[in-house]
Amino acid sequence: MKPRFWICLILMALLASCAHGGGKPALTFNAAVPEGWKEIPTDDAMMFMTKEGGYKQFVLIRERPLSEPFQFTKKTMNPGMMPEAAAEVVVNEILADSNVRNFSVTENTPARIAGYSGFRLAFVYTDADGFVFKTLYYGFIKGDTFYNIRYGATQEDYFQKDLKTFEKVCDSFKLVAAK
Amino acid sequence: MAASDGARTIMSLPAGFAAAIAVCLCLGCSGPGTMVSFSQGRGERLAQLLSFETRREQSAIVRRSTLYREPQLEHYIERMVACLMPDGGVEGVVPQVVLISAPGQNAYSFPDGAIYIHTGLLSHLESEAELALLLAHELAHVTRRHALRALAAGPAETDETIFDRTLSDSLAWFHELTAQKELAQPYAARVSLRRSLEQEADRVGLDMVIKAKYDPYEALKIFEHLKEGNGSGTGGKRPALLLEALSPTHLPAGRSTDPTVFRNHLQNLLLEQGRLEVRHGRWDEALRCARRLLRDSPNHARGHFLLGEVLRQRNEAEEVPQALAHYFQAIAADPSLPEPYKAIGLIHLKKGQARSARGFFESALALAPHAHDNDYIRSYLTQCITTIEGEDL
Repeated sequence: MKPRFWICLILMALLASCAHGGGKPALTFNAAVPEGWKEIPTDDAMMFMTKEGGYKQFVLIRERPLSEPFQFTKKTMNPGMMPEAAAEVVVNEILADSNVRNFSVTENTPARIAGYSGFRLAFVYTDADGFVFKTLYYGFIKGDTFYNIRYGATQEDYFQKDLKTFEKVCDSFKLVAAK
Repeated sequence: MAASDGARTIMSLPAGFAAAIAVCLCLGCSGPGTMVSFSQGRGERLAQLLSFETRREQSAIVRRSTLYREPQLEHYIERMVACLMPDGGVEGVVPQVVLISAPGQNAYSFPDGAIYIHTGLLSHLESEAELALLLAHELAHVTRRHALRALAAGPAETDETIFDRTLSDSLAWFHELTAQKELAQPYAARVSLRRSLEQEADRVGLDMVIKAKYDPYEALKIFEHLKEGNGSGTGGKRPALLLEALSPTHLPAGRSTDPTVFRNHLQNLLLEQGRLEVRHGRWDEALRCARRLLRDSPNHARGHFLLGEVLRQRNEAEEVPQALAHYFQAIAADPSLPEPYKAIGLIHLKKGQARSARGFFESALALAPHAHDNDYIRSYLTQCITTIEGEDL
């Protein structure tokens, strides 16, 4: 899916949730919203936060059931899948998106997230409108759920500026029992 | 070569031209081989429109597609195109084949002679004669100026319309124009013209194939192979009509086409297509590519590795032994290939066989000390060592 369009969708979801008050599934994680940032409420099982607007920088934390199909690749994740294989599914999903161009993975390594074995991806790509996005993406599988934390920014200076803030968000991330 | 009879397109036009042709089919549907008449001035204007749209569409294709580059295969296809083109060529047409790395069975041509073929389609072809028919069909669309004829078949556009739109540099003008024409024309007429153009391209294309001394019966097997690939058929009447049109005097073909030459040219493409299908999670297509590759080249190390990967990644427990067998065949064919060692290690690790896994991971690291995935392999090794130490305590 076109990344900017995707961000728009998130913003629309926010407006929808403001309008009729909810239906958001209980999250099984939480994370601290950094000072000066704001969380944009959504109806989906995610946290979306930004400082100056989603087109400049955003942090998105999402949980998705393993049974939920991806949009572009028919590959699936499964419980007990190795982090490397899960990272490959994420990369394949982006590669299969025809709106993404010049996609390049600059880092793909094992990582620990909140004590769980996962992966860390860094990649850059150009969207259909020609905007260059840089993204850091952490992910891990716990039970039947895939958790991912990503930080995206459109320009190098924006990306670097909030990198440490993003790492703090990652450090604050933890799984909790659904309320 | 858009399939007729409502069948799935095997070689369809891109949206812009599809729209243009579909639209313009209507008014001047004059049947195969008959030129639509229009004034010289109008013809020039329409040619100008097509030229503009051609450049725009081709730029868009390059922007949104991944080109498949393999000089040897491209050169092979170029030589075939040269054999198929009518003597003396066609004014304004410079045949050029561009391969697009993509799943799906798709090919299309532009009025300037550019022919775009998806690797997903090429991977289904079994002989040079079939490829010749595919190329000849697309060339027939070009040399018979089907796009222009389809556009001309629509209602006349005014000079002002064309002048304003070409000056405005708006990218939407062509589609607006064709959409207006489409609205003005009944669906049945569009389908009729499209069908007649396809039939003409089939017939003219087959003539080109025969003139180039390919075996037409072998060429017509393309319809069977594409039918197998898309499951929905490519229009059963098309090959039947062409077979009926063949006279016994067409035999025998003069061109000797050693099937191994064609198959050798397709090996890298099949490997890349298989990898592409794996990325898309299209396991059946990935399996087909891998098996076809190994059928043509039984000791292809990367082919065995690909087949092993498909079987392993499909996550069907009963296929793991087959996957292992192919990994070992890959190693036997090329012991310097690190990937199968890692894959075997992963299978052992998943089974809890840390001691067995360890040796394979160490081999993978030794063979490719700077591979991009070594951090993962080291993490697997650490897991193995931790498990082994636990067992030894």
